[in-house]
Amino acid sequence: MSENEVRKNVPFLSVKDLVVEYKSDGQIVHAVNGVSLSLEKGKTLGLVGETGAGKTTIAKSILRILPDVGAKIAKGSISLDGKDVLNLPENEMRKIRGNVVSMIFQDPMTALNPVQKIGDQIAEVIRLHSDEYTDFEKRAKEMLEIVGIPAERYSEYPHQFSGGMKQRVIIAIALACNPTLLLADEPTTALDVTIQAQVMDLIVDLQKKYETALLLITHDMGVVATVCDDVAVIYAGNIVEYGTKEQIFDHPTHPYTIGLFGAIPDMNEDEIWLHPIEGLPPDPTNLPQGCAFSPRCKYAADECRKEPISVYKTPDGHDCRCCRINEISTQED
Amino acid sequence: MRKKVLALLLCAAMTASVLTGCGGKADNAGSTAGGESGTTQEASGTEQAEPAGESAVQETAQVEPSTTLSDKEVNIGYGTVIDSLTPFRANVANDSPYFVQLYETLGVLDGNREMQPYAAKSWETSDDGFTYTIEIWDTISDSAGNKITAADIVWFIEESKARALKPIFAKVDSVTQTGDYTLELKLTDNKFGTIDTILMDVFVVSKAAFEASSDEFGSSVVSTSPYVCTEFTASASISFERRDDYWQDIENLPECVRPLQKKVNYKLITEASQLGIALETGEIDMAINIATETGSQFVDNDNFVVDLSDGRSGWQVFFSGADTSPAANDVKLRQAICYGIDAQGLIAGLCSGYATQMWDVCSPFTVGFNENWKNESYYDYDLEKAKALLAESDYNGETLTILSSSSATASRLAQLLQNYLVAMDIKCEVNSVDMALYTSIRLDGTQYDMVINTVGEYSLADNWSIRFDPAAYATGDATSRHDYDLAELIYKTWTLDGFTEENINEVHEYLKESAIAYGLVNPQLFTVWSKASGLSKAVTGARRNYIVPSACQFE
Amino acid sequence: MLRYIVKRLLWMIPIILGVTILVFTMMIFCPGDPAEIILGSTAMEADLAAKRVELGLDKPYLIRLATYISDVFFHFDLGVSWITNVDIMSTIADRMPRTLILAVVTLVIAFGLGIPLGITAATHQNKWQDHVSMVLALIGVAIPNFWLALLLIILFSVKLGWLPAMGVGTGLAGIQYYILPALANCAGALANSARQTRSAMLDVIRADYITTARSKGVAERQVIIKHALKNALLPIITTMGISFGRMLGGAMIIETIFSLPGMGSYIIGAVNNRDYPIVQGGSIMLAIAFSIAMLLIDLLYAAVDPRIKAQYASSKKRKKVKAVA
Repeated sequence: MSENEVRKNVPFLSVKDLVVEYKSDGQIVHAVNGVSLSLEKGKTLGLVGETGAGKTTIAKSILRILPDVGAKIAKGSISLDGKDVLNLPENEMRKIRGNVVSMIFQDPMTALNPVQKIGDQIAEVIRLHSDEYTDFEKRAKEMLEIVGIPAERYSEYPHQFSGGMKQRVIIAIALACNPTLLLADEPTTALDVTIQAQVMDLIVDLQKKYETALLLITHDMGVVATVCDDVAVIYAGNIVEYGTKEQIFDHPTHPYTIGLFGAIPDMNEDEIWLHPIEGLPPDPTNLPQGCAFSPRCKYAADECRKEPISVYKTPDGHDCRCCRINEISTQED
Repeated sequence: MRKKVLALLLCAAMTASVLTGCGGKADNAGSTAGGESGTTQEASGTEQAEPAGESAVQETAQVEPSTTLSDKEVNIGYGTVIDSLTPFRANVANDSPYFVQLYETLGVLDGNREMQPYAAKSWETSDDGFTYTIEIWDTISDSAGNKITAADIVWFIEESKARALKPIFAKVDSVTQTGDYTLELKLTDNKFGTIDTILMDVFVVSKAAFEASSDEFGSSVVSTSPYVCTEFTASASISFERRDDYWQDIENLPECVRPLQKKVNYKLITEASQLGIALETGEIDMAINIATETGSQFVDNDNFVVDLSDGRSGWQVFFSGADTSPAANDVKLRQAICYGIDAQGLIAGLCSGYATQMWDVCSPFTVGFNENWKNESYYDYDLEKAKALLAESDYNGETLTILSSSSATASRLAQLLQNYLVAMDIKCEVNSVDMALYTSIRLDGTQYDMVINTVGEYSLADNWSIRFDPAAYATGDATSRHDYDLAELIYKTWTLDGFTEENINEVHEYLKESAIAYGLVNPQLFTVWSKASGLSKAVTGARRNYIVPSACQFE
Repeated sequence: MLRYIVKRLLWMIPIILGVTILVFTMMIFCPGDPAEIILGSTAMEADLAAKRVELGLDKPYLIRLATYISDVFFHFDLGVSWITNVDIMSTIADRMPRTLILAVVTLVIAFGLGIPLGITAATHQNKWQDHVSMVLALIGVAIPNFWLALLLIILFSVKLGWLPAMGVGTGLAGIQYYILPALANCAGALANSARQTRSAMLDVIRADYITTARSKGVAERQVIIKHALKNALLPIITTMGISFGRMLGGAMIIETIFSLPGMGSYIIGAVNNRDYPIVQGGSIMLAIAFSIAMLLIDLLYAAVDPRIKAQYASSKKRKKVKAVA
């Protein structure tokens, strides 16, 4: 993605041309293929896309907690507050994890250590990033109260909590050290709808309170609409559309984005069939030449299949990685 | 691919190490990873039976018996373990050398196999061996200070009879104390050897001390022996130290029980190769009765002295006496088989050359054996004669069964026998069974045609009574035979007067002619000690005439 | 938790009783006449008959069984050996500790070396550390323990003289007598523990909570030991229990080679000699030892994993709920 000249402030998080590959069974999986994004303090960026599009990989790359075996950050740069993160020594990186940047994970049922008390798990992250004078237990109990869990439950184990409460514990762990950047990887996907709303409210409240930058990974457009400032749409490891929430929702330009919105059933209409996007996501070990979406795109032309597509600007000023946006908008109109 | 190469390398490594274990003479390490004894040495000069205590390998000048008490400490290795020290015990392991230090007995066999007074001063019979008057020393006391009187001896004999653990005490009709230090012992028979066995099996123990012990002397013993048992770890080790308040003067003791050494420590090591290793590392100075494979490794070793002596029992084959067996009533068949067995082959094949042939059904070690028999021929190997006799016999191609226990030696012996029989065109099969089954069918002559056994009682009379007396068992003699002619000759030797060279010879000739049993081979016993120990005179004695470490003389 | 322990201990009683009855019954069907075994092959008919009566061999099966059970459970009297007439209970009291010490020392060595080996293999999966560790484990399983024993004796006892080759000693210094036997015995258990640790760790390392731990900034070493290993312990503890059980009866070869008078050589010697009371008594004692070991293993599970501890404690609560509903 090109530089964001629209932004006035220096972004806290800046990812440029990130390429991440996995090696699996002798084949190379192209998980992330040249992603650039940026985020300022206090703002929320929504990262939208299907499963397997590479969203979690981007988040894990920022923290550098990709699995050792086989994962490689092949190209690109990530910087936090101007500091290059990819070349930091490991002990420096550890000071950042949990402290400056922290992550909320997708599946609360498995994200907590089953044999450790939840209070201790919160206290652990506090202890790692504080000096010896801090009362870790007290601070952990405070965090519990903040996320809405009674402090008496400090000594209980994860199996004694419900899914929603477990996610709250994870949020407590993530926010215990007041991180500047919070990576939330589909935090509500595994929860019931009613709990979803509570948890999202909690995250947003805390974000506002601590002025945390939030990178929200999700495939729920409704959540995006409520919470995010900016939106980036990912397909097959590429950001295909990037702009403010209003831009994306009012004027979706990329065929994939259009397809996403089209797939959302409309409450007001009486429809019999849903409108999925035809076809399947591409095999990440064998990506198509040119545009990754071209096999499924009804606007695809020869020029789409030859070379990687560069980024174009839409009429209202946001980014779109499609070479036929003019033709598409003509057809749509 | 990598894994396959690795697996191949490992296979090669295993094969190589197995091959290095086989064959070759291990001159240092006692490792016997090869399993089978890979060394088949021809014994040099040990074909003839040697009198116990000397061998061609060892140089002994005639050293006078000593009465000097030394401060020496010796470590001895022995292969049979015991779990308890109690004086009331079965016959199992009763020949272990440490019993000499543990308890005193009324009498003890010296190195010439003659019964010597020990705790008993004298014993006399006036009615030909049925009643004995025994007098014990009046100074006997144990390590706790208890004085021993005839009452203790009487109590021991009566208690042994009541507990019925050793069959010999069943021959005690009654025993009564007749004085402070005299007692009268009435026996149920006057067979030769009965009184000797009783004298050897009565331990001198104070009744008071025994009853005061919480576990019947199971783990710690108070005895009249010159040695105190200082340590006993069941099945592992037993140690003795000479005490200063011993009741007897050394000169009055037979040489074999003189407590010359200050300390004697036994390590009980059941595994033969470990016994060898203990000798190598110096952990023990002497190993008594070590297995042939391990003992033979020390023959060429200049640091050690190897003492070979005649086996105490030998291996024999007995023909079934049941009428169902072809061999039972066919003397020519039996003689044919005896001629067809090559004793030298057995010596080489079973004992790697460390054995001697036999001249009677019993070992030369048995009391009553006549040394002149060694000059006779004893069915020397003659295949032609064997085949000729076979042709004259009534053998019609039946398959003969050889019964043996499943112990390694017995079953190997059975197989060797089978080979010799097959070479004579006699069909036969081997039936190797485990000990329990063997014990239950060995007396039933209908179950086999030949049975392999190792019989080694104290005297010939005992041997014969358990093997050839048709009145011994419900089915006849030990092979279901009813040979009353033989029985008559045997009964003649059963009294003290009847146990004469002449009578014994008659039985020997009968057995030889009828060939109802045949002495196969007598493996030699190995005792090995290091030259560094300084042994200058090896003294033997006690029940099986092993070396008695406490009585040996060292430099 | 206490109720759980008591419940388990109570369960042991029918189990041991069952073993006793089974062993006793099987021995009755084995060939061999006890009187002949005791008195030896030189005994006369009359003596044999008398001995049979004395041993109660003429009584019916149920009476003999009842007598035996009452002897064992109420008087703790396992009888005497037929061959040596020595009290079995006291011999076992001497020998059982040695077998137990050998088993414990073996396990300490096997798991003390095996777990780090497995962790190394898991954390360096498919690299040279992994391959080397697993090959070492494979060698451990493949080597016959008697061969290893002899090699160890040659090296450490004969050539170097560092450790004793046989026997037992007293007191704390007595531990040195167990080192070579334990080393020879541990090869199989070491291999198993290394492989089991490796596979358990591999499972656990992929888990989400490990990623959480890393994302908190926990040092890698802490992640492996405090977070991963603790969760991987369950299958490792199971392997430990199985290995211990096998060792209780199966160290016979090692005990024979090293002249360690323990339970293995005792029972096998008794089987060879058809000394049935020892076989019976030994089997019962081993069954008891094994049950207690399994109980300890299960308690160890509870100590490591709070979910299992909750399961043990709550099993009675569930019953109450059922009754109410």
